[in-house]
Amino acid sequence: MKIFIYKTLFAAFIFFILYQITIGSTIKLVKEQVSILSSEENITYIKNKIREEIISANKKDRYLTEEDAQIIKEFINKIKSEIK
Amino acid sequence: MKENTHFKINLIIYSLFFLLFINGTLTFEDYGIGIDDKFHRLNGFYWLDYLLSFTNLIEIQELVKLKLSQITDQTLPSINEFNKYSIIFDVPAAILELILGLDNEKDFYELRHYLNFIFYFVGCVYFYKLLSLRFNKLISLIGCAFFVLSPRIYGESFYNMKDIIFLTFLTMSYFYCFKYFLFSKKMDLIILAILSAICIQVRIIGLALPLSFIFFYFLSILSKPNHLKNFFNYFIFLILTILFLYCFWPYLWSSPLKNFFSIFYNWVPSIHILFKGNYILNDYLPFSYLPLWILISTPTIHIIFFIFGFFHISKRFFIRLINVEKNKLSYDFWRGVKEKNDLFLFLNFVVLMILIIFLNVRLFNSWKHLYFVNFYIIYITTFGLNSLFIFFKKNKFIKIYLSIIFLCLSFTTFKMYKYHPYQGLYFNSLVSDNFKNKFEIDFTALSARHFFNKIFDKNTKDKVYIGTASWTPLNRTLDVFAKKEKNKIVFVGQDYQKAEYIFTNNISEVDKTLNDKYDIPKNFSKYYDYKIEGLILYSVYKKN
Repeated sequence: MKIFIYKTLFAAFIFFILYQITIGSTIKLVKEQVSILSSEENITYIKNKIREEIISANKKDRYLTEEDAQIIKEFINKIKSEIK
Repeated sequence: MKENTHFKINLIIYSLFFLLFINGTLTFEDYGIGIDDKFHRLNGFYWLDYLLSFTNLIEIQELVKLKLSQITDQTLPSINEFNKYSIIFDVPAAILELILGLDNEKDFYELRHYLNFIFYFVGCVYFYKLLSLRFNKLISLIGCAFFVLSPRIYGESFYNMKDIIFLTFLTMSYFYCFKYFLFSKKMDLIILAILSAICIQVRIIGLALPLSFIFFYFLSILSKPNHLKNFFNYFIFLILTILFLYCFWPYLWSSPLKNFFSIFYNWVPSIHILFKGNYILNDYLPFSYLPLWILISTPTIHIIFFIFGFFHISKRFFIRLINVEKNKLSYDFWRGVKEKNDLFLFLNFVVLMILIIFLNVRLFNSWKHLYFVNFYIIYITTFGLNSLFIFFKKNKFIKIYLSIIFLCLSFTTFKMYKYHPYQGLYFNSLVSDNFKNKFEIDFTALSARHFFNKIFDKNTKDKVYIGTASWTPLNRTLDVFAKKEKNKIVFVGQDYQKAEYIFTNNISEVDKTLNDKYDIPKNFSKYYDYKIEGLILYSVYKKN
């Protein structure tokens, strides 16, 4: 009986450590990334970054290259023609 | 001859304790006021008022109410919500303040700092007593020297009114626990129940002690079923612990179960902390957080002996574990009471560390909340020290061995002297200056006293406007100064353009790389950095 108890305690202890090192740490990492991405600070940071990009884009003479502009124009025209 | 040696060792022991006490008595005024001091004073008077409401001491209660109304600070949490803290230090300190008739704010806090140190001193004496139950006098003395020469713990012994108090009561509890293991006296069990109740009250993790004490009893029953005859003693111990916990903790009086379980609610704030140069959320601390902090903020000599002791006890335990079936005569995991004591502390340490590391316990301010772990660390260190002592004694290298220890401890003492009064912010010599500054350092803003002294020296104006680019509630640290000086300072928080100086340190609740809350404006330039041993405690920026 006592050997069974010792073995159970020891196995539970080892299982707990192994679980935490493998599955537990992965869950923790995922939770942390989700928390960082959805944090108010990160959202504000991304908003500010977009704002800065738009401001810098407005200052440029030309934002798109001629080739890109042509591709987008053709794409918009195609969409327009399809949804008529 | 032997009696003469005993006398000499006793004389050294008493002299060293006397020296420690004198040192604390002469230096306690050097430590600045931390951000927690005011809250502890508030907590003390809040509960004293509550206790007095059960008596007819109306005049004293009115005085207490007056004191209570004077402890105001917009940054302090509401005492009606944060009233779960222990009363074991704060209420006696409040009573002492009344008895001594103190009316100067500086004195209020210095009284608490000195009282805090006295508690720590008692803890040191008990640690020595505990070691002498297990080791010889010389090893106990050296072990106790390791305990005292733990810079972070020594420094905090003047102003940490929770963790150092917990460390003291935990040490005392283990002493009576060891005594009970040795002599099985009922009186020791009763004292252990009282001390366990106090430990639980100070820090809920104190529950580990009575639980592991009972767990070890079950382990001994498994080895020797005739131990069942002691069941009544352990049952009484459990009942007494619960009873004393209820009696000593007024927080439980109104609603015992509900209030007790509310303690387990994680009320440590969820904030960002600087760790290895990155701001990380303390909800998701890496597994390396606690071991790394212990490794870099504990003297190297402690670490070396600790590793040796840890390895030695682990090896012995493992051998006992794999030989359980063969063993019939003695206990399964220990051969004598001394070995039982070693294993008891070792398993307590290992289980606590593993639970804390893996269960995502929210921490901040280095490993401050876990300074009690230093008790286990030094015990295991002393065990390592003793094992090597026995080894070198056989090889007649004992004098060289003791000389090396003496030299290393002298070096630690010198470092502690250099850090004074910031021993609580110690990093060991193996850590580079660059690496040290990648961690949060002066969380309790002890160095703010130095900052304000400089401000008062350099400015003769009526008002000086201070901005704070840090989470530190700097205003709480001003109480160490006279009212005239205090009135000179105007805090403008993060409204930096109104400030003449900006105080900053690496304490931030937000991620500074994403949030510009604590960014220093361009029209300010660095005035100076306050450094100790390459460690930047705080920086000051001045308006151009």
